[in-house]
Amino acid sequence: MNTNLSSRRVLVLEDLTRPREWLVEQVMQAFGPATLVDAATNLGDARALVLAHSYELALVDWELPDGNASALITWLCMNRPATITVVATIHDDDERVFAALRSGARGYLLKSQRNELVQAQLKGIDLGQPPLSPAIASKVLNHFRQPAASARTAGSGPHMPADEQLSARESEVLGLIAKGYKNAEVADKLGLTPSTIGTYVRDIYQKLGISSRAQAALAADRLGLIGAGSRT
Amino acid sequence: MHRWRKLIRRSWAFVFIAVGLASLWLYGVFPAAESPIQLQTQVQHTVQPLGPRQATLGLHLPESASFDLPRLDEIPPPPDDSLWAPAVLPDGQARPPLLRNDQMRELTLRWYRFDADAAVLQHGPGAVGIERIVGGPAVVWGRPLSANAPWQLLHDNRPAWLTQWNRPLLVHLPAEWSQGGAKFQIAVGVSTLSGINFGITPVRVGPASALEWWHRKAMFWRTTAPLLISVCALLLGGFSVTLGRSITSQKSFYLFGIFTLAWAVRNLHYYVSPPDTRLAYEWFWWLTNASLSWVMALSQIFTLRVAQLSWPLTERCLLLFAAAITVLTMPAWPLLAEVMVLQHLLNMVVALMVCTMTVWSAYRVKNTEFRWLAFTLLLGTVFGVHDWLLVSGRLPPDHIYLLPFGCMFLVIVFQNFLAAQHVRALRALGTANEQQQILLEAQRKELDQQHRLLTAIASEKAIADERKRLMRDMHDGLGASLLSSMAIVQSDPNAPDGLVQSISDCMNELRSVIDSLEPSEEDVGSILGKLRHRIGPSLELAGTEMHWQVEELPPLPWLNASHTLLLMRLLQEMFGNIIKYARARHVTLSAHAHDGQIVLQVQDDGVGFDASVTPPASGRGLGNMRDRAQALGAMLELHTAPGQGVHWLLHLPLSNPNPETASL
Repeated sequence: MNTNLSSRRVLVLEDLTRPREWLVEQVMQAFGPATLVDAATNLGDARALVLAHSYELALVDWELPDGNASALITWLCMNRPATITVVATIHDDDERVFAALRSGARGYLLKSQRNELVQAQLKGIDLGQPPLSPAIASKVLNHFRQPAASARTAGSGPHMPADEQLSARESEVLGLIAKGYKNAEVADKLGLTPSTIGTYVRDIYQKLGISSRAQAALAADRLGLIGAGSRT
Repeated sequence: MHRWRKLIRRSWAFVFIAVGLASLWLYGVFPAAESPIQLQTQVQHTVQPLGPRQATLGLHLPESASFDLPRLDEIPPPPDDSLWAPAVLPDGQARPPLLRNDQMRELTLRWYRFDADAAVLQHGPGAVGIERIVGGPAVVWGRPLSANAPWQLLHDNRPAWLTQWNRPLLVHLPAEWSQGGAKFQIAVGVSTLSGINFGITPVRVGPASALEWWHRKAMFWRTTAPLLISVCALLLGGFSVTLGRSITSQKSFYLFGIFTLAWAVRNLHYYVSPPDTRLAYEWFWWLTNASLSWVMALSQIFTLRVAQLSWPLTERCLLLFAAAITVLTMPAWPLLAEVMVLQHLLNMVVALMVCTMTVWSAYRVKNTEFRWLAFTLLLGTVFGVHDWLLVSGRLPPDHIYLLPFGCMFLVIVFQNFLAAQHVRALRALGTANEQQQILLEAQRKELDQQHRLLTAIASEKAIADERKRLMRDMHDGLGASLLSSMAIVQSDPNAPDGLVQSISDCMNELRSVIDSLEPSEEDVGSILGKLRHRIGPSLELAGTEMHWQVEELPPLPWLNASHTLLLMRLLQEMFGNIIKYARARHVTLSAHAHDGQIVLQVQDDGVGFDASVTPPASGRGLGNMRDRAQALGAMLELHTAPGQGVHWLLHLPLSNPNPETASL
């Protein structure tokens, strides 16, 4: 297959027809007509596609007719590190968005907004500036507070590895976002540039995925599940 | 002072006994002090031979009046003054450890005579008292000195000889002697066998009334007191056995019971007259003497048991010793010798050995009861040594036998031991009850807490479940439909302008409901964060710029899901009004903690309104806001005037003054 440098390949996984078509259109609008967009309606098709191609971007709906996208997202995260996996959602403080982020998604795309905003968000994700709502920020903060305690009681030592816990700055950024401050305002308050905040957010998502997987592995290890099967 | 009081409280039993003894002593002493009693120590002495006798088996020789003894009442004191020589009372002779039974011995009457002053008879009839006479039966003769009168027999003690060994003798003088006012002479004869011990105390002469007091006192200490002590011991022993039967772990209680029984048997001769048939007489003395070995062995073993010392060898040796003594001293054997003194010498030696060991351990083991018992044993052993010296004629005969009193201390100590155990058991019971109560209370609290926790979890779970259901509905049903509508409307250039906003508002409203069902984080900051996320885009569309000043806020522990929804609704109402009516260019939301409150302020630079003339369009809105603030337990302030914008202040208390569950 002939792919030039400017063209990019995007996967859209969405079971409902109209939103799927709409999403494909938004992707085309955001990245230009040269973009190759593969659409899948269920996890089975999506699995076949990700095995056959490598994508720059994967827009994934969480709830699908043949299950949720957790395993697919984790697989992509582990085996296709170049692919930015994004969960597409109506509601940005949905439990399912957080679950997807924990599985390794690098961000979310809010479907229930104006086309311009959706496209802007898509571009932002592509540039390494994923969105982060206050609700998600609170959840992420809580996630990093609680597991530290549970990991300690599990006997894995008092300190988690550095790539599984937040830095002081990252916590600060998360705290401000949770309180409703916009990225630009956070940057202003902390004396940073907005793009730096974006980078923090991206790193936070990454740490969330890593620490979640580490926790899952720890839990599985405790239950003796390692090696019993990788599928959830 | 305090130490003394403590000491007295601790040894109250000893104090009690001491006071009792002191009063008894006074009871004996006072009447005697009122009237003079002459104590005769300077006497004249002579020995009158009565012929040889075959020494026979028996403790006290010669045999009693019912046995082979001359009629002492027919033998007056020798009249020849040249036979009499000066002597001093008390007089006596010690007894060898062994007395051979197969020897011929000389029977003699030892006479002691003295002149008495008639002055003692001024107050009425007189009497003669002898504290103790050891040996064969005694006789007392007397005569007035005035008219060279003949000797009169005043008393023949042969019928009472069986108890003579320990009982004081009281002899009344003829009444007519006290009328003449002349001097008189008294002679006391003691029958003895040569080589065998005898003894006589000084003789008391005085008014009969005074001597009767003296006699009663002496009788008390020599017979009544041992009886009382034995009865007390037996009572406590019986109680102890009853206890031992119900408390199987306390074998020492049985031991104490047996000990008191042995004790009562041992002291039988102090308060009971020995039988006067020869066989019974011999077995009687065998019984009481052999019991002493048991008393000694049992008291030692009992002490060891109470101290929880395991000395099985010592215990076995003691029991074996007592059994051996018991068997070997039986009158059934044709013994060649009288062994009583030797027997008690052995008892004494064994008791001293074991007692030394016991006292040494008590000195090392820090156990109060054990120490008291060891002390008691030591005291008993000392008493035993004293009594052995007395019985073998090595101490003056006027001493009192002390061993019967040894038991008294053991009884007191054991009584204290029982009381201490009882008190300890009661205290332990009390403590156990208290602990049980504390435990129960703690368990009840824990249960309560768990119940509360479970209720909270259940309600949170219900909220989470409801939320999930709503989310699913929103996503799959309402949400999907709204999304599709949005897609359609946005792709249609002819769609009415407000439609996109309207659909967006619908979705926002749905979200608010879901937001409020989020598990409460008690965090006003994150509620404000969500609020801005919801209303921010609408404000921007209305051309109002938001200024956000949310500081670090303390948690509100009372904030539950319905409170959260109330708060969001209240703020949404404020911002809704700004979007709809204010035409503001700027709105500032600030939140900070101040003086036990969280103060939320929303201030716009819009058109404002006249608060006294409520605009009809927003009338219901203002009322709702006030209701919601009240339901939150918060204070709501409004400052506005036409053309001057609107300034809302909401004071949220950190602790909820309004515990009722807020209604939506």
